[in-house]
Amino acid sequence: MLTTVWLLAPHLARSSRKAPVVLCGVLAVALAALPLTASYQLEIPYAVTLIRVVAVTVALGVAFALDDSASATTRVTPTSRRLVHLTRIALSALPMVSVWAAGLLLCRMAVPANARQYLPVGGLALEAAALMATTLALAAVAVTVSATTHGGLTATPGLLLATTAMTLLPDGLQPFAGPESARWEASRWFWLILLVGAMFVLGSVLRDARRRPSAAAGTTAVNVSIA
Amino acid sequence: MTETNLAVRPTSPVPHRSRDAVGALFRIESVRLLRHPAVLTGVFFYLALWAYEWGTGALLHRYPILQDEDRYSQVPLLLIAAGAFVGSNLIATRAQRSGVASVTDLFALAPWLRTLAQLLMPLPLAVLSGLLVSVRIAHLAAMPGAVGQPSPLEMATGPLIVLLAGVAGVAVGRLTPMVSVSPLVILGMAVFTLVGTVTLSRPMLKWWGLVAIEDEFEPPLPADLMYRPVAMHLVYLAACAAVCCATALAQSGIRRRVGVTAVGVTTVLAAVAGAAQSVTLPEDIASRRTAAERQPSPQQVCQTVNVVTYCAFPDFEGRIGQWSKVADGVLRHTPPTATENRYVVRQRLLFGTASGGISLSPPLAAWAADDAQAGTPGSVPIGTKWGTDQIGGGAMLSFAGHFAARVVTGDPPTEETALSVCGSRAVVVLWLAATATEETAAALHSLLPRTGGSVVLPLLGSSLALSIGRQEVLMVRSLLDRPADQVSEQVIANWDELTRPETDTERAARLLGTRVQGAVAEGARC
Amino acid sequence: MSHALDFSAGQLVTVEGLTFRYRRQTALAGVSFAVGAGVTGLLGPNGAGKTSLLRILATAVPPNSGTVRILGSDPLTAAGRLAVRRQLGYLPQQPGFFPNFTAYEFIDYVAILKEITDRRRRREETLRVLAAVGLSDDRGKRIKALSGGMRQRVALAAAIVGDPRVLILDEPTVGLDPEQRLRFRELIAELGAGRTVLLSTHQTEDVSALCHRVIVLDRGVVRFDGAPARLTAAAENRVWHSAERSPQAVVAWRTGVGAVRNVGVPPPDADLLPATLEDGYLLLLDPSTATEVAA
Repeated sequence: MLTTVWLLAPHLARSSRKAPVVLCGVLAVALAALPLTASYQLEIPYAVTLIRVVAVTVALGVAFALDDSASATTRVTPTSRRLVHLTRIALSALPMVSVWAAGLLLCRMAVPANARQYLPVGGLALEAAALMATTLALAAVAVTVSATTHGGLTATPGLLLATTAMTLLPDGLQPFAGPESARWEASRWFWLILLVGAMFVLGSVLRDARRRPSAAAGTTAVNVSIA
Repeated sequence: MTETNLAVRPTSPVPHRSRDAVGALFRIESVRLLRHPAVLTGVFFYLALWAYEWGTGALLHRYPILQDEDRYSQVPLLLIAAGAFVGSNLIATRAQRSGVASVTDLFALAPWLRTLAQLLMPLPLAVLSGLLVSVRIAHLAAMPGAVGQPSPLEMATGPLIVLLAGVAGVAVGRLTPMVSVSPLVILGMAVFTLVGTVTLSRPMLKWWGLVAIEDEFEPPLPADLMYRPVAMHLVYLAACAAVCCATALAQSGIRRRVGVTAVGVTTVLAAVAGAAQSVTLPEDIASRRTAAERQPSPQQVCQTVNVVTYCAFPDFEGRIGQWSKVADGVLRHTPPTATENRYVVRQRLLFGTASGGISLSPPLAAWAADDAQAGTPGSVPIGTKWGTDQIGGGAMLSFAGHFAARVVTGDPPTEETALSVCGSRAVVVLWLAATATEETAAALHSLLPRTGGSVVLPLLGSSLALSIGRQEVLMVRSLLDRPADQVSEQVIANWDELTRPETDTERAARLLGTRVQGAVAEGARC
Repeated sequence: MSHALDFSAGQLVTVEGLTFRYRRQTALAGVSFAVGAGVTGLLGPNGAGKTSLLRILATAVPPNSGTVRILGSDPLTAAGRLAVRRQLGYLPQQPGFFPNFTAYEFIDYVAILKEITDRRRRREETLRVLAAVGLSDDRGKRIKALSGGMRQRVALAAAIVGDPRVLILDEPTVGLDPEQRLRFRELIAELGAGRTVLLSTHQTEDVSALCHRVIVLDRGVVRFDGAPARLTAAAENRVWHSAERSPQAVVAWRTGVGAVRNVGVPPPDADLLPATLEDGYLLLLDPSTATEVAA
């Protein structure tokens, strides 16, 4: 399996869209570097906000990862669809994760040295992971139920609209809670549940198709669905 | 199956009716945009947020001020605007994406006319957004406790942003068929809007963005004292839409000279309109604000409810009922001697309380003179903030506290009366304030975890505040655990002694059947 | 219709009672047949369920009910599906490509997916299939620069990578010019030797030229299953031509020479014509003559 992944990786890298990854990567790093280049000392809440913007940008970068224009020709090969998709995800997620880490470091450097320890890195990493997983889950649903090239087309607006809607939620439910607010701890649960939910959707959607249970299909279908 | 008749029929020469074709295309594309998943998702989120507020009862306790709500309606509409941008961008790039551009480019209808139809496409969605905003404002206006008047210009801003987003999506689609660009444009606008909201020190910046958000800590104002360059902002947004239209048409095979000129002219227009959004307060509004701050009585309307006369700015007349509930709640637990007095509550404005966090002393002398002129000496000031959220709840509790202090001390709020609320008096004042209504009780409960044990009730957010020490607050908390009527009987029975300035906390505890807990805080002023 | 569902008797692909619904429409309503080695044609009008059937046989989608066995394995189980896919080549109705890949790179990619991990073997196999479809000279061209017919050949090359024992071809000759079509037929006929090839088509000429057996599918059910010659024979003495459309005709169309070709029950004095597979197929699809022809 590792051999297959190793052999597939160059082909998959070449076949995937690079513009979103590059554009989002450059934009994320540029945004994160802004305070440093302007020699602006970031207070913790502003640094957190900036890291969140970087996380959304990074998540947008992986939106097109699952688009596969050759899927119709290649889907019934012995190599599982999930393996191909996971390789694709890894190929675009790894650079974007590094971009996020670079963004985090850049923002952290703009925070005064004595305040850096108060930057909630773990909680922000959780948010970034959940946003990325959600984007991939949206893309996976789109390539499965719509066309195999519609992943990014659906996931990018989906992520942006969902993020905008989240920022508009009332204070009591706000997932983007301030690090010093009383809701910080509770809001981590939201992100954890989102991450787990997105991973679950991703895992189940990328599985190979099974027989659909159907009311009129008789006993065979029932047996299979129980099995 | 029958024999197919494919004989060529003589065709009558059809005149080229480009206008009709553009109209027909506009109708088709606008329906497609309305039904686009991105737009539907945006509308869904918009309605879901609204439904959530409604369902949880948050709207019922919102005490909406319509001259502010009109502005608040713009931010949620950004959801629909984002949907409109994505949707129109995908529609504009549809031919290229599906590889039929080489066919569609040969159609008799010129490409620029097709672009024109697509540029018109967001109009129905903008109208729908306008409808949503109107229904939302009407819904808020129908809420109990709604006051003020919405500005049609503010209400029009949101729908215009939706329209701008729609034409911008087409323009970006004409500039590049790359679908990954449009999310980044949205992200860029979101970042710009965010920057505009956090850089309050540079108020001009936000007006270059889509939505200009105000400092939410500033107290609400009567409509005629507000100043936002809304009309010029609308011109600016319209000019930006014109830039998008010109760009899209210039990219659609219109004559080069015409295209470049159109883009140039509209860009200059947008820049001029953008720069003309002056944030400098006009002279007449500044003088009206000064008058409203120092001598508001001539422009206010007064009503007497029971023993209290309430004077409010006309926009806030609807608030009198809410104030009287709190005042009546305070007076409910006082002996008849206390209600023999007549009380006056007057609405006051204090400008600059939130700017830079510098605490501000209220112009008490000017207010006293204003009261003397109006024949309402000793009035208790009340601000414009009101509500059940953190800020509004604090304002409610503060008013209840200052009104209770007026009842207990017999004097209107001054530096001396604030200082004289100590010991037993402080206990009575805070207890009266907290038991006035359910909402003041809730406000105290939400305030306590955020304080170090003592409670500070500022007057209109100024430096003049009632400060209740830790011991007194602890005693009030224990009193609140007991039935209010039982405590009320003891308060009324021992009213004279409890409200005497010399009575200390120990004595009050004995009179009310409880005991003092904890130590006096260090540096307490009593 | 009864079939010997016996793998040992040379039936390499068997389906029994297959039903499939797609977007609330019944695409297959109880399809059963068994095919052995050789080329079997699947004929039917648009929406007959051909593509659904082939997608199920290609293990791309599972059926709603019924059983499938391919080379003795059950593709509805994970292990069976893997076993089937190792022996299967599939040319979908609308093949997809990576437009920026060359034909060689794309086939190389497919070869990796088909578990040919040894570099030298993969190179040999890629060159072999590209030569088989006649793309040796164009293997370095990017797919986006290839014509429609050449792309179809790339897709066929992808299907035959790894020399599969079962080939599922969904309208392989669509969009090809007459010369390319002839070449394709030749190629498929070659592939049919010793392998099971199932191909769907609208073209009765393809079937007459290629298939030793034809299955006609209409509205999700099998209308005919047998040798193409049998279907042609069913139309024998039922085709005639006349100056105008004959009232007895079930189907009639004006031909290039100006006369009307009628298919149906001919009048006594009719000018009879030799029947083709198409005539038999048209009679089969008409409700008034379907049962008669199928028998």
